[in-house]
Amino acid sequence: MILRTTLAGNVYRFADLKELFGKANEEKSGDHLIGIGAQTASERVAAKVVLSQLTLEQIRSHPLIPPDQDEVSRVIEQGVNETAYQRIKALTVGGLRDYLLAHSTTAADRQTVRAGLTAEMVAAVTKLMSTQDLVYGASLLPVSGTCRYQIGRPGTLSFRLQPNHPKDDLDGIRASIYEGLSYASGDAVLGVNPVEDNVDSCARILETLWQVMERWHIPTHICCLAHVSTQMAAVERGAPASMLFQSVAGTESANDDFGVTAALLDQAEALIRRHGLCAGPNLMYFETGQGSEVSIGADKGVDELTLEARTYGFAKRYHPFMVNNVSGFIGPETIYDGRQMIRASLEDHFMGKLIGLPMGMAPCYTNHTGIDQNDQEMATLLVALAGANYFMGVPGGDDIMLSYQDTSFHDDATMRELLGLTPAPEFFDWAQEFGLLDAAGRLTERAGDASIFLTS
Amino acid sequence: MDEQDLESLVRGVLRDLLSRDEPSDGLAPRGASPGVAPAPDRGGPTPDQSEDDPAGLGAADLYADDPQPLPGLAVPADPEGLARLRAATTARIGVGRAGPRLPHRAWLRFRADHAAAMDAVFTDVSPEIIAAAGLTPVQSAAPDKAAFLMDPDLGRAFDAATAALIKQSCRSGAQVQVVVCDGLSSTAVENNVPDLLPALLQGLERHRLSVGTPLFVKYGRVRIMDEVTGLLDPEVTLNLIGERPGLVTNASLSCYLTYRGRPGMAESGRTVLSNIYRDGTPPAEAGAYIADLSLKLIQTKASGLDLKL
Ligand code: B12
Repeated sequence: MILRTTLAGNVYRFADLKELFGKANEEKSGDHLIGIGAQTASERVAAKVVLSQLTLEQIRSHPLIPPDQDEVSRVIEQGVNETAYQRIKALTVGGLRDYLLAHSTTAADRQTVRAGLTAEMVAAVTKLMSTQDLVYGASLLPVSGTCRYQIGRPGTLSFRLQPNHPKDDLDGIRASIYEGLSYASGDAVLGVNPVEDNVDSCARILETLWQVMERWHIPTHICCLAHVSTQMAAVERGAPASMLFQSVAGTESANDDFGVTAALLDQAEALIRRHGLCAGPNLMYFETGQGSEVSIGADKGVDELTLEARTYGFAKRYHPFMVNNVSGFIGPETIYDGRQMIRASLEDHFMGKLIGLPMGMAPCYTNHTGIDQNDQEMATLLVALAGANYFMGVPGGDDIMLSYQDTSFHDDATMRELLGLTPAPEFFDWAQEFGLLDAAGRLTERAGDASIFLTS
Repeated sequence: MDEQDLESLVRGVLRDLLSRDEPSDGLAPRGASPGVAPAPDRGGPTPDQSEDDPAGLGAADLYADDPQPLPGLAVPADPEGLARLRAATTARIGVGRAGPRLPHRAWLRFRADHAAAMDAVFTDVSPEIIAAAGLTPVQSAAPDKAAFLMDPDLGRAFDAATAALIKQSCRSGAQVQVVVCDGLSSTAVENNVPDLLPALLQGLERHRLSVGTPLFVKYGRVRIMDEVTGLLDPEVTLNLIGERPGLVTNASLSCYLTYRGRPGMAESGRTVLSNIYRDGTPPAEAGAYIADLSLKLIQTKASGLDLKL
């Protein structure tokens, strides 16, 4: 394996794949935090050059985190289709990039390639991509998910309505739901992050969501984003849920911090298959995001992009209905500014789709970074163009409980209108019948008024 | 009525007069809105009269608007109902729209709130408040705020001298150890700890639990509580820490709890109560609740995922 190159007369050497992967990234504060980011612009390019010439086989045979030391690595290894891998293993990373983008490559070819990839290969090819590469490349890799119905079909754009409240006040939650529905947001899921993580409050929230769904005959899904073990206990006790949620990460030790193992998620999936509201087959919802490992010291010296790809590799085991990043959710130690956040959003969407996940997006920011709303909106437009399955719908873009800014109901409606996209068909029918969207999917006169739910 | 009251009254009347030609939304203003943090006190505008601004107040103050302004939504189907919905949450609902976009007042208010939240990150807890609360101040290994923000591990450790000082000067082996950290919001500490701490200590006393020397850690992160646990060996350690500032409040506090924590423990071993502030769980109520929770941790010898609430 050659880990050295000469660029403009200077020799660049990289000790191992970990170092090479770190240095081949576009700049991220999280990589600098653990001292693995490129020191100079030329070193970054040299690393990309070296990486572009490695074969997929070399990457697979030099694991960044060996499977015997890490459950995430094991899950990813188990997920590889060996037949597909044999067909692609001689490709270089650079060759893989060009193959994925080529006009002559068919959708079926991309499907085959995908089955043979590991997370590290996906990370590697992503490091060679520009903004437009990531947008264009992802647009060729649509993946949908089906819970009660399908979301993520080309031509559609869905939203998770996120009606959080700092006291889990049910009236307050309902008020934000009405607002969101009045903008035709909420076809991916009505999903509440509860303040109190206990079985009673989780069940109470699920019941409330279910009542709203039933009262207005809204074809959608419901979820309460407590810890998965809390949701399992609520469902065992008879609470209604369409899917189960969990935050996941790219190393075993980060998942330990989150209180999850592959076995626990296996149980969760089996449980919701038996006792959930929907037939599926996709019944899990995961949230991820670059930087969660490094922010808690669980990164094992691996760069945050690669750890995010590993997270997706882990998530794939559960054939989820929804997966979204929240890169930008943590702080400047992981993603420093708007430029890094936009880049991370594009990378995450592309990597998720390449691995085969039904990726939604949450381009977002907190107030202790330099990222602002203009950056956030640029990221949103770009990943919408790339074909993101869904975004969040947060009242006015301001989550009053999690204290961060994400896409608003207004942004949701804007993107549908700009890009000519409509909700999932079942929800679209409902929204037209309810008088919120016209036949083209544009907001009607009546839309945007939460109080219509009090009079109808 | 003193001079200040008079001044604010006059300003209020002028503001009302000036805002008469703002589009009316047909809703009564929310008045003292329940949920939204008051505008930061910037000392008030200084009158600066001119021909097109006879009152000298400048452009209409954004913070004089209803915090969830409505100009884009002319006639709600149920105006009173909408007012009720808005009263149920501090979320930005009922804001109306210009096409699919936010109406300009709502958009500018969002920007103003974002600006205020960003400015709030760089403040420190005042020494008077630390002293008045009876907290012993120490500092994490972070030398300054910028280093604290960029390298979380600095906020999770003490240097050797500080560790030795804590070990020497604080009571060890108590049942409950209280740690207060600025975390990502000094305002959260300033606004909540003065009411929360007495209620907490009272509650702990009622449960006959012994309490160690309460500490204040400047530039502290959540996990620094484990270092304190390692040094002082309490059963339960509480970390009252400022959450990252949001747009609606920059004063939200969390309490993280461990039973027999230790340095390097998994995060999932912690229990957390978040959103402690005036419009979330009010601080005095939170203090009493945390005292009860501490007892529960001791009785069940568990915290985090092992504790079934
Ligand atoms: C940022 C954040 C995260 C980040 C943490 C990374 C980081 N470096 O901060 C990420 C995205 C990884 C995360 C994950 C989860 N979080 Co969280 N998180 C927050 C948030 C929005 C802000 C926290 C904050 O301001 N920290 C302040 C700074 C100073 O802390 P820090 O030392 O830099 O970082 C520590 C804390 O953030 C802490 N932490 C963050 N979340 C959680 C959750 C639990 C249960 C614990 C014990 C610790 C913890 O871990 C960090 C490392 O020590 C709060 C909401 C809020 N209003 O507080 C929710 C919040 C604390 N999280 C919550 C939950 C449920 C989770 C998850 C369990 C979700 C899930 N189903 O998997 C996971 C797993 C958490 C774990 N055990 O490690 C809940 C807790 C509810 C409860 N009462 O138990 C909250 C209140 C949000 C909510 N209501 O849904 N979270």
